[in-house]
Amino acid sequence: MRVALRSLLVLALLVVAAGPAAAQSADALFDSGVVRDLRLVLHSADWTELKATFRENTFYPADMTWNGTTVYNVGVRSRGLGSRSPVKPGLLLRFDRYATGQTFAGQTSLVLDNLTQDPTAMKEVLAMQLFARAGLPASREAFVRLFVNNTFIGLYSVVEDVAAPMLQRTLGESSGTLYEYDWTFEYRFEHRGATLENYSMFKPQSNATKSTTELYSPIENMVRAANESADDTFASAMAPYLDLQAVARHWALENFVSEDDGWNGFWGMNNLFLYRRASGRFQVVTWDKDYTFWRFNNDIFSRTTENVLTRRALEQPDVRQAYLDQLVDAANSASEGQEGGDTSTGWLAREVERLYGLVQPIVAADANKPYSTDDFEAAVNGLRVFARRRSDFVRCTVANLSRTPVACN
Amino acid sequence: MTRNCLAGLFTLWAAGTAWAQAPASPAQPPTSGLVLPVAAPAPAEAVQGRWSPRPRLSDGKNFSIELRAKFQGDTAKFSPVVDSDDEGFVWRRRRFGVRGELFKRVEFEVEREFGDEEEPWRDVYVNVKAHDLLEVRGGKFKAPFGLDNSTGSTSHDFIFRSLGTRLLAPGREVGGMVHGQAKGSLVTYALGAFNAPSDTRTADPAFFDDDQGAASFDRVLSGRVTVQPLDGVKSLPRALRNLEFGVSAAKSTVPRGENSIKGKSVFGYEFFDRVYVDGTRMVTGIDVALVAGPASLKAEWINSADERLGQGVGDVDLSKVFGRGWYVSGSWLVTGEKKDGTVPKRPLFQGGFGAVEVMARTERMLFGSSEASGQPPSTSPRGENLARNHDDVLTLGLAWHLNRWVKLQGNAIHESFLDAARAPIAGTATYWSYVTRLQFAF
Repeated sequence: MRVALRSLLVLALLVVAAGPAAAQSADALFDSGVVRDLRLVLHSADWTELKATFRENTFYPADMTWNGTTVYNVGVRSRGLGSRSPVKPGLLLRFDRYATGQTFAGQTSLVLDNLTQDPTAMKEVLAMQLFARAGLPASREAFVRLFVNNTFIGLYSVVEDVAAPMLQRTLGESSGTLYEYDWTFEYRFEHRGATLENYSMFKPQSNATKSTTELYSPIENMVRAANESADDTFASAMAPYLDLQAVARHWALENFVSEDDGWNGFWGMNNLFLYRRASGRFQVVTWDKDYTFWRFNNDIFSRTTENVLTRRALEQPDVRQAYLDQLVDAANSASEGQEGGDTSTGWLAREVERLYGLVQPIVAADANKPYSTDDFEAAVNGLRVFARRRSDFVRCTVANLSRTPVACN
Repeated sequence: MTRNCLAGLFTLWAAGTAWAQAPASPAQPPTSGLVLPVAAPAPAEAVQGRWSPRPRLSDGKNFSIELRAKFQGDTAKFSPVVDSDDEGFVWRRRRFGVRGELFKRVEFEVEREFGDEEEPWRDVYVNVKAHDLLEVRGGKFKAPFGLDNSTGSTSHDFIFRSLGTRLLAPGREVGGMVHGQAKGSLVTYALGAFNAPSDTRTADPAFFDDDQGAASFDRVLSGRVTVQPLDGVKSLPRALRNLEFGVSAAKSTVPRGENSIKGKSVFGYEFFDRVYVDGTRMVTGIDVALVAGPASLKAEWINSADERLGQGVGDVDLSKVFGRGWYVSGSWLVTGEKKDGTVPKRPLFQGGFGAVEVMARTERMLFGSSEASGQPPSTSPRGENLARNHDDVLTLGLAWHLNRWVKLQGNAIHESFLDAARAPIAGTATYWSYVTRLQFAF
């Protein structure tokens, strides 16, 4: 009896201790309808050092408080490529860095995007929502006011990291191997020979202890097939590695949002993950969509002939049709709810205004942003134009492919 | 290379054993030309040289000086293998030194390690004996602390000292010490102050040179007291009257930073990382030893505690990080020699087989911090509740004393880690190591 009582007491204590952390749900964390405070407490020397060495990936311990819940011993490091900043650092939070198995709201890690490369602060959130509306795997995001050691650092977006919980949610599995594409040179899916180390820009994020052969042979085989298979066997040669129609839908979404730094980017491939499923096939997972929404009249085949895989895949009629269908679907999704000819009433235009209302006062108060508040207002105006005109342009251009072309403006 | 070294070592040994046959009496000096008449202070006596048990020059009264040497070479095998570089032959010690005495009052020693180019000098000190109760020593030497730490490297029962001693005890530093003993060795004391050079405070010391001490200290105050409380109880068996208790303590400051003591396995693999510390380090130890005829029984407990003032996130104070090591060991000379000195009654090649000794030791080396905060345990270097990890070690040993100078040891070492994720091979909690050592020392 005494043992049973003691067990109950221990159980009750555990429930009380674990309660607040467990109570926070991912839906609440990534609710883009509100802007909450996220507070980090680091040792003052660590915060100074993190900013001084912002190009390094050194982890520092911190306690994180969000919506009344504190998580202890979180690993924090500087992150990003071009967005790294000593003033307003982009941050990666790893909940299991110092505490095995620790999670927060079901997440093992979170990204705090410093929004330094997007004066509107909204592009990433908008693009990810469009990907998700299309049924493609995409991270959830929400805005937060970041405080470090009780000092306001600025407006950030909290981004669902591409890790096991996100893969499980979007793909239904997470035990495969996840690779993050690490941009170090302009690469467009050319075969780089049989030396497996030549494909190390695909950095394993899981199963990293596997051998080089296990990790990179499938990638090298896929790239070889994409480059060396004959035209008439291209589809069957790629079938073991990729669902080409699914990849085409990814390219179409990137094109719709006028992405200049994605799979078919100006500087070659960038901002993507490859996940190798248990079946052996690769799945593309999008990432970092803040270099988007540039031109409402972005060519629907922009740079699709530069990347070997994109060019050869879009020569396949079924893949090309999937690409065009996805473009039209994205256009319809962005203009959903539009009232007659009033393009300001479509989903994307409405979402721009909703997010603007949320972030405008915080952006104005953000002294660490690398642009002025006037720059922010001007960039939002550009986004408004894109939101109102992109859908019509895409639908018109796609239609022109099967009719006598008309001007699409 | 290795073979040549071993051959050289055995040549030395052979020469030594041959020379050892010469009569040791000053009245009958050996005929090998080692008697060196030298002009000496009054009263004038001829300075004579002999090997008993090491090369020695002495005038028999006012002056003596000895040549000393220590060679130890190890081979090892592992299961599983963590790093194949650890296997094969390695010299652990290649030391020469001199030790001498002047006018029965002044002792001195100079010892150099020829395998350590960075910090070659070991014991370099002068000791002045004013009285049995008061001696003063200055120079570089080992801080007084602990039973295992105070045992000479060549007369140690096991190939490696206990992890608690290797990781927690202060080592050899520059400083001064007062020490003495009363009523024979009924009570002994030693109290020293040492100053660790700044460039070694935070560095990883040479782990296998366990004479050096593995902990990073700064301005150490270290002391040790031993008592033999049963020494005068004549009603007890002689063996029990040797029972000795020791108490040791060392206090130092630790430099601010990631400078706590790192938890290392027997072969130097990390199982508990450094954490941020600032403040004082207090190391305490108690020990007990019983040497009775051919057998010995020893036990020791050492605890270190580092302050972490202002080292938490938000610059708050944290609970102390501790290292805690203990062992219990026993040894038995199956050929019947007395444990003290372990000189074979019948050396090899002199009508006997030498002396054979078996030994065993169980120990634990634990690191962690207070669990009272209620925070979940973590490996954060600024964590309030540091996730504990320990290395449980069982050592089974065999030693063959071929003669007074040469010893062959074999140790089978089993290690088991609490947190396999922080073991030498992540996920593998248990390890066997098989080490053999050939030692030549005089």
